[in-house]
Amino acid sequence: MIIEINNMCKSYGEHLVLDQICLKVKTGSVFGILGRNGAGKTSLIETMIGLRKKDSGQVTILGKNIERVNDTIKYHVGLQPQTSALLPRQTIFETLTLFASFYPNPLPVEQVMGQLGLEQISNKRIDHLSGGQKQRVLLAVTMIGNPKLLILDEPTAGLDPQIRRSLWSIIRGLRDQGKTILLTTHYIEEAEQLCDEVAILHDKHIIVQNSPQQIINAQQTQTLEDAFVSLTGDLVREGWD
Amino acid sequence: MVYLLLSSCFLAYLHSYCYQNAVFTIMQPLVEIKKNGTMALFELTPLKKREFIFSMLLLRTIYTLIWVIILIGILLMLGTIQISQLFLFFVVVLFGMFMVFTFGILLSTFFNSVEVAGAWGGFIIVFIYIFSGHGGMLPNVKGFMKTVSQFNPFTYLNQALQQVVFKDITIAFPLYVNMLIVIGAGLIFIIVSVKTFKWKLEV
Repeated sequence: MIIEINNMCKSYGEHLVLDQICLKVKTGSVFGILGRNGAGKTSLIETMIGLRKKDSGQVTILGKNIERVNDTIKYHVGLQPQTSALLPRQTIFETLTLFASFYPNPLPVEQVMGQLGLEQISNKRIDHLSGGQKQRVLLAVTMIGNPKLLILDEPTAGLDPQIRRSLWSIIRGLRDQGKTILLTTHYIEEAEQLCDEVAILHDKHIIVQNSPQQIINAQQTQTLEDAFVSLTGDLVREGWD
Repeated sequence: MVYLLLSSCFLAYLHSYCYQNAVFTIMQPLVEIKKNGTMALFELTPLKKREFIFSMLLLRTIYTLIWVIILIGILLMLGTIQISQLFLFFVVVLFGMFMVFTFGILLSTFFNSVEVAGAWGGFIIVFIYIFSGHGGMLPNVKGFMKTVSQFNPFTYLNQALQQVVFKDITIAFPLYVNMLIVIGAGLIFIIVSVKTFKWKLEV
């Protein structure tokens, strides 16, 4: 297992957001954390890697106990945050060269650009890029340090279906290279198409962790979306959605 | 007399440029990239806080050196400084910039909003300017203003520059004392900056 979380709890003041979270992620897989908006997916991954202090529990990543962001995270884990901005007046090539300079053994910038289809626009400024291009650059920034584990927080949020599918094939390619990808999403289709295993986060807990097909079979539904609604209920939460 | 007036104006301009540099070219941009999430990306890389801070310092020092060289050329043309004073003037300005830039970096660690940073920055500039002996030489400043000015490290930068540019002025401390205070203040600012620096907004 590349990630093991045991009984992790996290609250913001009086408000408990994660309660007794247990999770195991296999090395070399694409693992999805599925949940509604505001379920706590971002809090889960930020607490897991030590960006936020957990209240209790144990987190092990790459065999190391994680309390705060440490060298294990910095050198071996790449995180693509849900919202982030790059330096707008730098070109793609300059941005990747800058981030590559932080690592002792980065991937070649040209190789990463080739993998993500950025070589034709490598001299374009970040503020001149479309949404899909920016997401690919952010993914490139996440990959440039050659991490063993990539954590992508809602990597396809707000993107066209075509761009979403092209990112899916990139993610599958990364898995085929032996990398582990942990992604959060509220797009059920994305979890169903892309992930080897899915954990559903609902009401502060992980209510199920299994492959998409086994979740569908267990809930006796046709699709993962139906299984998700069956597990999480179909009420619209006031003040949340 | 005209040269004296022009020299005084240039020095006043230099001070104003320094303080505005601290706020508008260092503090505000750092707050902005902290707010928009760019620095949060750096947090997850092996880049260390002190490396980032020193790179910000180095970049602005290089940029400012170009401007300082132009200023020296103007002052030489006016006859305000002689070639023999060049080295001393350059050293004083360099260390002065160090203090000013580290002050700007320190200020950026306290603000989460660019607008609030700008508003407070403007107030801080005025405060520093008034209480750094611009109304006169430090020995001639009296009362409450003198007390506050004595605790303002920018006062000593002001005194040091005036000592280098003008001859026969009434000074409170020798040049080396003023410079020690300027360098010491810069070191304190940078040590505190590294301790208080955050890669992203506090939640």
